[in-house]
Amino acid sequence: MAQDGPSHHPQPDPDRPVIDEALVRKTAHLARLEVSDDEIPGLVEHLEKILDLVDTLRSVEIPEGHRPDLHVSQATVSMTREDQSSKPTDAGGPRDPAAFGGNAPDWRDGSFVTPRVVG
Amino acid sequence: MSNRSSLPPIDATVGEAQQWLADGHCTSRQLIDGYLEFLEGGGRELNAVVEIFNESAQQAADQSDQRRAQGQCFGPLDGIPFTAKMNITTQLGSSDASSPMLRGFKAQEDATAVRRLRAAGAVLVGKTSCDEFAMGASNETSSHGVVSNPWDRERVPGGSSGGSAALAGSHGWSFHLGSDTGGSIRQPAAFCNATAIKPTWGRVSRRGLIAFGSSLDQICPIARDAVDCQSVLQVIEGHDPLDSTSLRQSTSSQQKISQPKIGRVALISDGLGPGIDASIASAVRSAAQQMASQGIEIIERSLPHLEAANACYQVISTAEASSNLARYDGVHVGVRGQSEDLQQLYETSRHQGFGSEVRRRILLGTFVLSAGYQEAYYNRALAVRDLIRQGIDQVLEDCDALLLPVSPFAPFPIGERIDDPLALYACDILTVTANLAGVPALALPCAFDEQQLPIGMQLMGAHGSDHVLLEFGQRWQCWNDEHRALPQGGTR
Repeated sequence: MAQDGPSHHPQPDPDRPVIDEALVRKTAHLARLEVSDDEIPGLVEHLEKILDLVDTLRSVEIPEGHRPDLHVSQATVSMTREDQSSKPTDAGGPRDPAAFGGNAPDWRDGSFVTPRVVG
Repeated sequence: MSNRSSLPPIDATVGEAQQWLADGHCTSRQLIDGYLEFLEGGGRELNAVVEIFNESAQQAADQSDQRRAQGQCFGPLDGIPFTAKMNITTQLGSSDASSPMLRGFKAQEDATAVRRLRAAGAVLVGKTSCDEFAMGASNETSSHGVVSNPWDRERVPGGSSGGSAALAGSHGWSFHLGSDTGGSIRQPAAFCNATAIKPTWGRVSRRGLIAFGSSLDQICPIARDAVDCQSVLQVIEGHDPLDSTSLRQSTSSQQKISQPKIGRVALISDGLGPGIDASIASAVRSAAQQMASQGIEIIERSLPHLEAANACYQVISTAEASSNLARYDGVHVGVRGQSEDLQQLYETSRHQGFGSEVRRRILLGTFVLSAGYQEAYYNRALAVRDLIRQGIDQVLEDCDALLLPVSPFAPFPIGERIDDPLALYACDILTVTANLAGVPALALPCAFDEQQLPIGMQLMGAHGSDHVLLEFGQRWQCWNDEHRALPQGGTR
């Protein structure tokens, strides 16, 4: 049974990536997350600890040639529906685009506004 | 007309409150007014409720009373108050998932579950606090502040559906919609002495549920007893054209078990060993003995890979979260940082809008999906998930349900674990299995510990056996009345 709290990783593992500032910054960039210098040591420590926990996955023997099932339920595999239009009064029907603007931080003339990306 | 001014006892279930209405002891308007008064008082004191819809609730109650007077009552939920968790969209109020990122977010439509409930006459009275984006087990990461456990105000109510559970655990007449990705309805139900079911994945439409881990998330009812949970599930379940992953099969075709009733229960020994509070293990063993005395056959079984389930969950849930939460970019909804560069705008906005726990999970999820690590982490977790699913199927080959505790420990003091994320993740070790396997799991109150804190147990069943579990829960609650207890002293 899993113990309450982190387990100790006994020795360096050749398969285990080195968690350092460079890896955290690279991953944060992939996630489009800003990280401050102050946060780095805490995030390195957290990732180390969580990967200690995650490494228990390695103790599970996976049958050779096993292909993971990507579906939670076989009942929803290849589910299709008729391609039909819906009315604004239908649940999930089309909305006035302006309605989305109400939740946008910057909405002008029917468009989401971003910083200039071309020219 | 009989005396219409008396309200039901505060521990009355939805079923009993409905009978109260049917017998003319009070009107829905009186019931709703009484419940709104509780929300403004006790609900606010617990910090469980974020928004209260006084005016619209009173109007809906009046309409319910008119239907009843004309003999056109919609059914068992007509005129009954309910709340929705902040990560479930409602046209009324805001739906911010308790995150600064979505502060003030106004949904265009009700979630399908909410829409179906309102169409059945249920009265939406408010929105409840939760952990930010439903990521947490203590309701301490909510942007609306910490929620208190009604049994001990210094302790957490559990999470992430902590607001829903705190209300369900302290007052009757009502039910609440929460959600469960890794235990988020069952663990708070256990901490607050409420009853809740995490349905089979796909049984309830996820349309309008602000996504965390799509292959794990389900909208769930939480209430005073199993009868109420079943009444709610019967309204919200069923295929929804707006959620292509909602199941189309009829209830009967989803049943894998041959017996309509639970006769043989597997007591999962791995859930009673080291790492589990002795008082909780003892309470669940006693519950098994109580079932045995009622003719249920109890067989002790091991559940393979239970230890790896939490690791598997951490990988899959964060991977899905990193993808689902990519949509919050400072452009379409929510918080926006200041930058003239688009990439920088994304990063700054997401730094400002997400709390530290959400950012930690996005980071881990991005890591396990990133080039070079996906095979070792994400794909391996998917393979382990298959084995966990098979392990449950094996136990269910000759048993009708699995019995184990909900939480390895009792409700803990506010602040005790919040600075140690892994200590919080340990809350989920017994609940994540049901989400990974997609099977239903019912949380039931079973005892109180020496500190008078509630202890919950859970029953997991085969895919589609939700109502079989709920019917067993009703039998259990005829044998054991702990679920009637309220912190203020209910009738037991």
